[in-house]
Amino acid sequence: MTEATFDLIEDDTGNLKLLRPGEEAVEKVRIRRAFPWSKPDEFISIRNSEGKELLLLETLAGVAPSVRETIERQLGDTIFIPTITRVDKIDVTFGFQQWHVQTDRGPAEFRVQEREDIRFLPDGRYSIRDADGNIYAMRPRQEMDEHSRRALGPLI
Amino acid sequence: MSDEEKQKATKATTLPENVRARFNGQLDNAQIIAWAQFDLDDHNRYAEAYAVLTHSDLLIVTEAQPTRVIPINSIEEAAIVEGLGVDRLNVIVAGKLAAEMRYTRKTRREMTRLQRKLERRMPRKEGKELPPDWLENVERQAEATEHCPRCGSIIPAYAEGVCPRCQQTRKILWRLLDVAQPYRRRVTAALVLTCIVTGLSTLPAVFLRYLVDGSLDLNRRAGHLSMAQRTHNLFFWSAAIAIAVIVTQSFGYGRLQILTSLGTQMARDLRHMVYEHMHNLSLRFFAKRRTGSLITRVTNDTDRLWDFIVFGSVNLIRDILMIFVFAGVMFYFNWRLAIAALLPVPPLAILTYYRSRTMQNMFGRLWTYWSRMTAVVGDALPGVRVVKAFSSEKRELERFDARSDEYTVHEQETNRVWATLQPVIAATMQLGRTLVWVVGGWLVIRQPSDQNSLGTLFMFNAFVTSFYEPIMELANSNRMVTRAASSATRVFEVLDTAPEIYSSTGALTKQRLDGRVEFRQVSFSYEGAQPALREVSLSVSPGEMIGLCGPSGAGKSTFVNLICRFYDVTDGQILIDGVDVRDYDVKWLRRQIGLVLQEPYLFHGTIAENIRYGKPDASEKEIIAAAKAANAHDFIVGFPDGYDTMVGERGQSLSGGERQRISIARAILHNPRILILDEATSSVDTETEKQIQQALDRLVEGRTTFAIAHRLSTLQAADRLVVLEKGKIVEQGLHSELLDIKDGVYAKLHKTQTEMNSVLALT
Repeated sequence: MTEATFDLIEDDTGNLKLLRPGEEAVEKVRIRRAFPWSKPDEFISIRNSEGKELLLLETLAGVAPSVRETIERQLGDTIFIPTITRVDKIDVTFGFQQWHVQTDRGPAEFRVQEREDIRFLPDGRYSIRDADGNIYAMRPRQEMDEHSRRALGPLI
Repeated sequence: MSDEEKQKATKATTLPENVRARFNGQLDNAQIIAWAQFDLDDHNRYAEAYAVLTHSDLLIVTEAQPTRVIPINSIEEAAIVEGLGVDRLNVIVAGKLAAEMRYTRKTRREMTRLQRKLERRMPRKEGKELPPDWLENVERQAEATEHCPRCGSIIPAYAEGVCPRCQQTRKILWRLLDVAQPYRRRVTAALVLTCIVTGLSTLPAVFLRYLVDGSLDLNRRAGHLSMAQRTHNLFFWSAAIAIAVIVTQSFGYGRLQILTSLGTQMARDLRHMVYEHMHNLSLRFFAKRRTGSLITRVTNDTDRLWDFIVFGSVNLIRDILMIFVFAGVMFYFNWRLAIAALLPVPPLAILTYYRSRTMQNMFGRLWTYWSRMTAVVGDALPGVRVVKAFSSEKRELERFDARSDEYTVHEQETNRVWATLQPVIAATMQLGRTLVWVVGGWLVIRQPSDQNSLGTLFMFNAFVTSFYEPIMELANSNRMVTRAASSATRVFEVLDTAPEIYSSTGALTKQRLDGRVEFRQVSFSYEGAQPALREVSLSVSPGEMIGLCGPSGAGKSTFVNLICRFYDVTDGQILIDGVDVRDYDVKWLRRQIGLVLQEPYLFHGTIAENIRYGKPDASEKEIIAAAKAANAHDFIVGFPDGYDTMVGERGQSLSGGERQRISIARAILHNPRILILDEATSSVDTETEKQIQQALDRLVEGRTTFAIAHRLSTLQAADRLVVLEKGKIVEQGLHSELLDIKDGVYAKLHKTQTEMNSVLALT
């Protein structure tokens, strides 16, 4: 399948339509990353609303700039994994951890139920899952500032 | 029902004043049906925004935009688009996106509820049925919640008005002492004995003073005494010291006896508490956690805790007491020497505090890496067949070594800090002792008096040695305290987890269940996933057998999970004998339900014990009858150990079919009113399947049965087949009826399976 011959159009209702020559247009397509943590910019999957894959883009390199922009905007809109830039405070007195942090999407406060919810990623980063199921990313401990490191104290 | 009556029927929802204020009076006369906060703006940044549903409008207020009012009857579509970490509620008016509300999981529940309520009020598309009125009233679980006046978090209904979060604000270590509560008399006795021991332990040093002054110090009083008198004094005070030591240690013996017996009992209580609580927790809790880490909590962590509660805390009290008693005695005898002796205490205290803080963090971190290391082992050993099959032993070892190295690095760092601080503390104490010699010696030489006697100096030397001991102990016990605190945190993490499924007060039990099951508009979603069931309605009469089929992921297992009340519905209602399942006592309800799973789990124990699991007082006769009905008797008696054969981990290895038949015998003896067969015959060969099928037919007799099966042939006995697809019931009826549906899901499934079978038959 040649990747260059398709178009993505966003309609008034905010839905994406996939156009491919010789095939019927598909409404309400979704875009997903196949490797959201390890290879976020490769293997982008375009799928229908049922979750069936229509296209798998190995890279975005060969994609028309306008389409690429649509894809990137859509990914930005539909994927929300804030990166923790600073840890202000972590209270562990309640038997669970209450995190007070600054993220690239603004300040946040959330509850982490247990240590297992802090996942170590192979590249040294961490993914943190809060009690509601939200995911946050955090840079390796040694790259965080002194205050954050101290706040992380007994955790990592 | 008129609109007005409907308004009355719907419980009015109140809006917090600070939220109402944001709408600038636009809500003044409106009755609010639902409201929800959502937490992201249009650029996926955190923001505070609210959506309010009234009888006529949807109102949205955000930080960036003024209030938008969207009349409900103009809304064409209000759909939730799920993203990753961000969902959107898109409201479409006249073919255009009128509002887009973005939110994280934090507000997902409220937003989903708002959307459901909004959708019910939107103009109906043709042919779509109006939802029943009662739907609005059964959402009690979500709506009955109240907010805690202190911390503002939601109080779950089971807590009966006491905010669990605020209850937990007390420090972990103080909560630990609650565990000791039932033993408070013995704890008090131990404390009293501790005080006595502490008080008495000052005596030898005091007697030493009289010994030295009365028999050895020739420069002063002893110089005026005769040899005989001095010898007498020597023996007298030596005897006094010996008696004091013996008496002190006798009390010490009693104290230790009490403490050790207390310790073992408390350990048992703690283990019991944690394990009991774990069993009350819902499946959701277990789905999220590693078994290894849970086992550690029941065993190691509780062990560390009792050690702390019993020895740690009592010794702490003893040490603190000792410091005060010794200091008091020293000041009584010679205040100048006392000051010299106490001089090293402040730096010692500061050092101790610093060390405790550093070590607490370090031990916590160490635990993280330790559990990461053990996780690798816990992961690889159960999968050892796979490891060997891929001959990846070396890779597994490398994986382990990597984690092990990581742990070692942190452990070494911890030890380094520990090793640095330890000598500093020891040196401070040694120097303190020297200081007493210097000051004391100077006083004895320059200002000799009764107070500044050689005996006093000896006494102080003895004091200082036993005075720094408790300080040293305190410093060391820090290690224990911090370890205990991290253990306590982990144990309380379990204890503080609220059981999601609980029996409400005054929960129902009945003499006998008829087994009528009704699903009314049931929707359910697991955490963070698409709904697993959508508005499923189904009525099943007592004794009816329902065959549940459909492609994998259609919601079949969810369906039965909800009947067992392993989870509670998200929306709608499940009635058994006309009563909401949430009104039954959950344990009683589950006793009425029998479960035969695809891969039956047999506990470690004998076959007889396993069959007896659901009815512990069953006689041997009953066991045999059940086994016979399950077609299991013959093969069981064929084992050398018969019914006493050990099964489960490390027991006799049984084939899948044998295990299955034992589990059926277990279910037959359990005699449930409602029976669930979850793929009970899917993992066995055809001959065994026949045997199992026969056993199942006997089991099903007279009970309401839900049978899940991929192999449609096994569902032939069903009174009715229910076909699920994507969480919805798409078809139901008899086998023959379903086959007649053109392009039906069932017909398609059936076709592929018969084709498969004929292919298999040829080979």
